[in-house]
Amino acid sequence: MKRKKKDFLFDTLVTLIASFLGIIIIFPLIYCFLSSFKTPSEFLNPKLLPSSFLYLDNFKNALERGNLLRYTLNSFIIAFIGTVVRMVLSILAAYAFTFYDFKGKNFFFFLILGTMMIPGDVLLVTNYLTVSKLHLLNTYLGVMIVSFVSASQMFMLRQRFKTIPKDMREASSMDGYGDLWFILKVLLPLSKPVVTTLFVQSFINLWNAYLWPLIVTASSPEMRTVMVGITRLNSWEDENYQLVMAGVCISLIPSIILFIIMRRNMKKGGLDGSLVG
Amino acid sequence: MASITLKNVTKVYTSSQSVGGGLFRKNKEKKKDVVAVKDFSMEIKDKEFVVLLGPSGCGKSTTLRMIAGLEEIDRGELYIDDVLMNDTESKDRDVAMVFQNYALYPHMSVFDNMAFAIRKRIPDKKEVDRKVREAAGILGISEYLDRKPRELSGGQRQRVAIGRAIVRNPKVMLMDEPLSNLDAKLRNQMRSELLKLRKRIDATFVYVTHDQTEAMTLGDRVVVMKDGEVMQIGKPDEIYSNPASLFVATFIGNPQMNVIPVSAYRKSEGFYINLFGKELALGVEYSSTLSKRNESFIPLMLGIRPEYITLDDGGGLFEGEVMISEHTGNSIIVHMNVDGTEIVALEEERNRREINYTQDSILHFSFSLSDVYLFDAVSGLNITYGVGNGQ
Amino acid sequence: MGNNVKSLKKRRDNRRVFLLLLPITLFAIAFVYFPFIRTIINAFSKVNSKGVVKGFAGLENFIYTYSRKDFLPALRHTLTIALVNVPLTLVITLSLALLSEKKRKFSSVYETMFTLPMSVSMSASCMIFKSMFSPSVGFINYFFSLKLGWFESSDTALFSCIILTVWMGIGFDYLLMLSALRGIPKSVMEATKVDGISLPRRIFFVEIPLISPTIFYIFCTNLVLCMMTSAPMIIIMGVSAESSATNTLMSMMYQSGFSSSDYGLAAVLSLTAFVLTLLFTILSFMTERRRVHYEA
Repeated sequence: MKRKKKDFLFDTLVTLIASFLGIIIIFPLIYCFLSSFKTPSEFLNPKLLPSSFLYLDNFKNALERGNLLRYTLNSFIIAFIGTVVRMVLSILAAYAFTFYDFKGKNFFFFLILGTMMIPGDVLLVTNYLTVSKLHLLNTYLGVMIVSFVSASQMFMLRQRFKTIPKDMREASSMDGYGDLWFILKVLLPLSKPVVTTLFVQSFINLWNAYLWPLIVTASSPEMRTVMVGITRLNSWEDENYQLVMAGVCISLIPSIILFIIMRRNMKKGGLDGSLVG
Repeated sequence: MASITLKNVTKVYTSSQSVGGGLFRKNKEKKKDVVAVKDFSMEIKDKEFVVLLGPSGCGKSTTLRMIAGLEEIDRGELYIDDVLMNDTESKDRDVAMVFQNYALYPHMSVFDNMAFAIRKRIPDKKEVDRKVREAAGILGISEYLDRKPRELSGGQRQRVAIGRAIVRNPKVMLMDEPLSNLDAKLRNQMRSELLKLRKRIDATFVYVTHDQTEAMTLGDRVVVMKDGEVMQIGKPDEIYSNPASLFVATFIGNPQMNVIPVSAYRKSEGFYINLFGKELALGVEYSSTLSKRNESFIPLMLGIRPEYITLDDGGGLFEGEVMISEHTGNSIIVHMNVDGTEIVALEEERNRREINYTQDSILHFSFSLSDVYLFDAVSGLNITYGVGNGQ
Repeated sequence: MGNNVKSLKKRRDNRRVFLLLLPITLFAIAFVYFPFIRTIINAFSKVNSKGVVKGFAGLENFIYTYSRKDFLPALRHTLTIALVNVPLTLVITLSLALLSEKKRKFSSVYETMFTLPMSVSMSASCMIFKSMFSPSVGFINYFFSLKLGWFESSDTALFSCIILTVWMGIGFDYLLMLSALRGIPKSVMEATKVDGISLPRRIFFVEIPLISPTIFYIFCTNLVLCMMTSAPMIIIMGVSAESSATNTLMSMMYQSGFSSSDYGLAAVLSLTAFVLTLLFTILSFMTERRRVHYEA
């Protein structure tokens, strides 16, 4: 009994400390949220709470004057299509690496994994030159095209596919099903948790991208993504931070929702019943 | 109609060990050719049930997978109904296969698992439905059609796996150790169901197992394999009563055949061996083979099955000291020490007489020389195989 | 006969593999390996303002870059960020993970709080921090009654950038640490309990060695990220010659590539950052074998 009480006290203490630290960590987000309801004059007085949560002009201005509505749409198109293409390429490659034996398998595998060794920032300038030569500046494709290859995603998919018995592929091929059928009808349904997680992760990644969209859409303001857009809502001279904070809040909505979905998803997974024992 | 002909079918694996050692470690690769199946030749008749039997790694599964088209044939030819199949993709061979671990699609219902196998071939939905229900009826799984594989017991999953194969109504049914994942009781039950099933399906069966009971009860013919080579092909009773080699003789039969090294020598008219101090004259059937050898002492292995040894308190030719005796219910297995050699005898319970089987007691035993097998000590071949029965 | 047959199935398989691998390989070459090689070529060539190579330059670009007076500060800033950020992130995330390792009634609440920063984008974080740390209207100066300039004073700018980058990295690294800790076999933890091993000893002699592969992984990925830091400088500080208080190799590269179209300079800076990163990574891998415990 005594021990139980001691444990309870300890757990409560830890919970309190952890919650306190947690609030410090998410404080910037709390601050951002609260600030977005402030009027310009309120903002000059650096108190935490706004006087009213009904003051929505910041959001309205960000969306209309800051053109954030258009930018959000741009971001959505780029993140969605970019993710779909990326997933398709990774799935095809991971499938080949899992279910086929061929000459040079190791070479191609490391060729693709090797892309992880080279940070994207190093390639910024030369990729810009390539994309401008392809006349893809200020286009959606230009923003997406450099992120079509994701070695880590391919690797994760392969790890998942490897747990699926080769017998299943053989059984379906004996029944006359080709690669595409097997991928669509068996492999993907069986790998749903991993595929969803990777999809969400990739979407957040592309949604949050900043540098590359900034340079590719530099000369065409209406093609900007939302992450580029929010940084243009203020300037050093005119510090209308409340507007920026409203913009940031808008830009965070999809990524935070998806983040929560992903956390849920990562806890699920597994295949059982297909095999014995 | 589906006969299968294999001509010198050979499979060679180039095994490369340790593929990939990490990003910064050097990949060491040793290439080595391993012959998995060597010159497999056989003619399997239409609707025959052939069992490939052997210890693990003997190439029996590889042979099956070559017939299925899952494994390339490196050398040799495979015909199904006299059509060369080496080149044909497995989906065009009209063969179905039951996999060892069933390979059921875990996300599909039992119905879909079975229907998936034929949807590509039969566009008519009603026809698919009818065929699946018919197959399910045969296997007694009609009430589980809506369930997912994980909601089924091991035996039920096994039935679904078989159902997925028979719904296709294939010319050839291939089964890769289909019962090995079931517990002993279920295995016996499924084995007899397979026998019944076989009569209802018009297909040629090729069945892989390492379990001799399955092989002996199911097979019309049994192929015993070892290290990629065929040791013997024959009807189950032939394999048991007329083994081609020491390997087959000891592999088949439980408890294992007793093997005693002996030497044969010529004396006056015939050949003799010396066994545990007793001189025994060999029958004339051995003389023709043995007289071709010119050594004065021919090293042989004498084999005698435990069930052919007769035990008694006295009067038997040999005597041994009981080491252990095991009662299995319907029989008793006695391990005896005879001049330092372990001899196992099996006596059926109903034949049991008033004999003291307890440890350390002395037993007498005897056997008829006509029940004895003699193998060449070097090659392990049965020295009378093919002589007596004209094979 | 046999050989002929073999090649047929092999050919069929090879055609499929080719089609499956073609797209990803094509993009990997076009947008990773090709630009990487082009960066190397540019570093050794005379490149005009349109990015066209106009002949071999030898080490000219290197000498020009390294003798610039803003190069050394940029290098120093980059290394400082890496040197401070990497250990700091490890300590913070490990402590948080140890604190929340045991599943408690409200653990999902603070776990979510610890991981939330990973969903916040670079530019959003930068804007929030810029506002929060603003010397005039920022909350931090107001709350702590400070008069610091933060991002706007050259003494504190680099320090402010480090706070920002640490914050951005916390979420993901914490998540990795936590799952590693929770992945330790239960039997090991129970053994320490039965043997009566004290909490600090358990942490330092059992748990940390057991999760050392994860710690090493976080170390490496963080190192690469830090060496490539540029966004806070570009977004908050703006890229101009005056903002040299926080210039890093990569922000300098950005500035030379996109503001002044000096592609030779940009290529040399990219390459320098890359080679340094690679060198550090290889060094870490060399010590890895002694320090990191992998399960047998």
